[in-house]
Amino acid sequence: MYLKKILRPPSTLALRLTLWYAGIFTISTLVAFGAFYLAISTVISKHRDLDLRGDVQEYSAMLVTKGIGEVKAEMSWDALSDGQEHTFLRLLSLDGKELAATDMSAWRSVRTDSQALEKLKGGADYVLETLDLPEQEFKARTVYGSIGPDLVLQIGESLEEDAEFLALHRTVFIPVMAAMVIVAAIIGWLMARRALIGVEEVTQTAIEISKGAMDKRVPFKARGDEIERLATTFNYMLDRINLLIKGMREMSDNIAHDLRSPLARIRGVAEMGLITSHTEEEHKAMAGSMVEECDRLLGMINAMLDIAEAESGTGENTLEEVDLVRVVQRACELFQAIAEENSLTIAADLPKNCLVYGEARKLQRMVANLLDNALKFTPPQGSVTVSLKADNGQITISVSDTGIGISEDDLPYVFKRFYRCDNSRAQQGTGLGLSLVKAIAGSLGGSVNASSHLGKGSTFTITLPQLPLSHQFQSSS
Amino acid sequence: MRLLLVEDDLKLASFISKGLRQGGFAVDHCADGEDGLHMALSEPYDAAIVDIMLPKLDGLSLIDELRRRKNNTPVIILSAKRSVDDRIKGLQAGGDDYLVKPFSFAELLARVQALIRRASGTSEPTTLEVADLSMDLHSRKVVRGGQKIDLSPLEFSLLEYLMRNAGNVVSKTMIMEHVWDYNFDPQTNVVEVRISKLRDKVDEDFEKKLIRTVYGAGYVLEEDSQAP
Repeated sequence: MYLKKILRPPSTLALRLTLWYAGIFTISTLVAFGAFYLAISTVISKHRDLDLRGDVQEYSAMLVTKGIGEVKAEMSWDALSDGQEHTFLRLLSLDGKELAATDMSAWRSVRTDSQALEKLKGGADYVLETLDLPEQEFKARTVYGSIGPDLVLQIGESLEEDAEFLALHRTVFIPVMAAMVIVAAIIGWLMARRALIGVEEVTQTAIEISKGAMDKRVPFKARGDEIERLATTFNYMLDRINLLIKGMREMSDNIAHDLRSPLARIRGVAEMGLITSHTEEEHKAMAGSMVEECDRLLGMINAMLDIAEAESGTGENTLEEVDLVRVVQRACELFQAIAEENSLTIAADLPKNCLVYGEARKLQRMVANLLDNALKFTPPQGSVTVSLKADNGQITISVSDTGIGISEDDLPYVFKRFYRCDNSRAQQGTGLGLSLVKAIAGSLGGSVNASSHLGKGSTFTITLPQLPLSHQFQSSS
Repeated sequence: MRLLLVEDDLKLASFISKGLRQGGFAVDHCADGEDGLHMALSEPYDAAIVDIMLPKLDGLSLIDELRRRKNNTPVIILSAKRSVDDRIKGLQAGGDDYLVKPFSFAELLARVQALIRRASGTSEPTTLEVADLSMDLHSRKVVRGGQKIDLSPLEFSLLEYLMRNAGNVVSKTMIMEHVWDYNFDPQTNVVEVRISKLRDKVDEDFEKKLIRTVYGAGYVLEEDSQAP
C-alpha cells in the first residue's frame, strides 16, 4: 500500500514541477561532471605517458654519455627514490632476456611483452602499455623504449597517485551533488509555488462564487504576467455573467409585472361576468375585451420570443432579396390612414430602389415599429419623415417626428425591454417595440440610434450593412 | 360537410367543435392519434384538423400514415410551435395548412372553408357579390346599388378579403396577415382606422350596413348586418 502510494505519480502541479526541475538539474549536473572527470583523467594519463617517455630519453642519453654502468646505478637510484613498490625499471635485450632489474619483489608477475619487443624491432621508439597486476592494488603504466643497440629499457610506474587524485574528485563531488539537488528541489518548489499561487487565488474565488458569493472577485495584483491575465479574464467573465443574470432578473421582474397585469385584467373581467348579473350585450362586451387582452398578451409573448431569438441568433435565417424601398412604401401606406386620422403627415424620402439581402419580415417589422412609435407620440398637425439612404455598403433608415420627444434621462433606456417613459404610459403599447427594433438590427449586423429634443421631436436611425448581393441589382432603371 | 378533429385538449376541442357545428359542419372528435387515424381511414371526411402533440401517435405520423395509405383528406395542422421550420415540417408531412396556437376561431373557420373550397375544386370566381355590393376582380370595379365606389388599392384588397369571407368574422390579425402581409399587430389601431375608412365609402350612403364590428373578435361583412 505504502509503496504503491510512493510509486504513484504525485498529483499536485507544484510537486510535479519541482520534481521535473530537480530531475533535470541533477541530470545536467551529472553530465557536466562526467565530462569534467573524463577530461581530467585524459589529461592525467597523457601527462604520465609523457613522463615515461621523457625518462626513457634521459636514459638513452645517459647510456651514450656515461655508459651502461652509470645507467644501472641511476636505475636503482630512481627505483629507490620513488619507492620500489611504486616503480620498477628493467633492462632487456631485444629478444626478451632480462639484463638488469631493480627490486621486483612488489612486481613479481611482470612479464616481458614479446609483442612490444617486436614493435621495437620493427623500428618503433616506444611502446606504452597498461598493466593490471594481481600483487598491485592499482593499475600500472609501463613503457618499453630502445636506449641502445639490443638494449631495451622498461619502466613501470603504479597509477596509484592518479587514481587517488580522481578518487578525491569523486568523493568531493558526491556530497556537493547531493547538496545541489536538494537546493534545486527547494528552489524549484518555491518557484512552482510562486507561479501557482495566483492559480490558487482564482480557484479559491471560484469556490466562493459557487457557494453563492457572486460579488467575489480575484484580488488584483499588478504582476503583468499570465496569471494576472487569467485573473483579469476570469473577473471579466464574472462581470459578464453577472450582467446576464441581472438581465434575466430584470426580465423575470418584467414578466411578473407586465405579463401579469393583462392576466389580472382578463381574470377580473371574467370574474365580474360570473358574479354579477349582466345583459347579453354586456357579457359580449366583456368577452370582447377579454379577447383583446389575450391578443395583447400573445403579442407581447411573441415579441419577447422574437427579441430573444434575434438576440441569441437562434432564429432561422431565410435571406432573400428585399427591396427596402418597397418595404418602407408599404409601411407608409399602411400607416397613412392613422396619420390622416390624427391630422399628421407622413413624408418619405426614398431612392428609386434599394435591394438588400435580408429577411423581409424583420425589415418590415423594424420600419413598422418605428413608424408606429413616431405616429403615437406626435401631436396633431405634426409630421413624420422616413428617409432611406444607401451608400458605401451601408444603409441608413431614419424615422424622425415632430413629437413630444424623449427626455435626456430617458433616452439611454428607450431600447430596454419594457422600459416606458412616464409620458408614454398613457399610450397603448407593450414597451417592447424599440427593444425588438434593436434586437433585429443587431441580428442583421447593424445598430439603431435615438436622438431627441424634448418637445421638438425624436429621430431614430437604423444603420445596416448592405450585404453584398450575389448579382448586383442596383440598376437605376 | 363532415370534419374530423383530433385534439387531446378536451376544453379546446369542445370549443372548436361547438364553433364548427354552429358554422354548419358535422364534427367528430378523437382525443388521441391512434383513434384519429382509425376514424380518418374508416370514414369519409371533407377535412381533418389535427393537433401535433398527441398521445399514442403524434400528428405528423398520423398525417404521414394517412398519405401513405393514399388518403387525401385535406388536413389543417394545429401546433403550439411557431417557427418556420416546424411549419415546413408539418407541410412536408402532408399537411395542407398550419395554424399556430393560440389562434382565433374565426381564422380556423376561414381556413377550413378555404381548404374545402380548394379541395372540392371550386373554380375561382371572377366576381364577388354580397347583397347589393358586387366586386369585379378583373376590372377591379366595385359597385353598390348601381353606384360605383372608388377604392384605393389597399381598400380594395381589404374589401375583397371581407367579401371572400362574407358571413364569417375575420380578426384583426387575419387582416394584417392576409391583406397587408404583416405577421404581427402594430400597437396602433391601423386595422380599425382602415375599416372605418372603408365603411365611409361602402356603408355610409346606404341604409343597410354591411360591415359589422364584432367586439373583441374582429369584423364581419354580411347581408343581414345590423349596425352596432
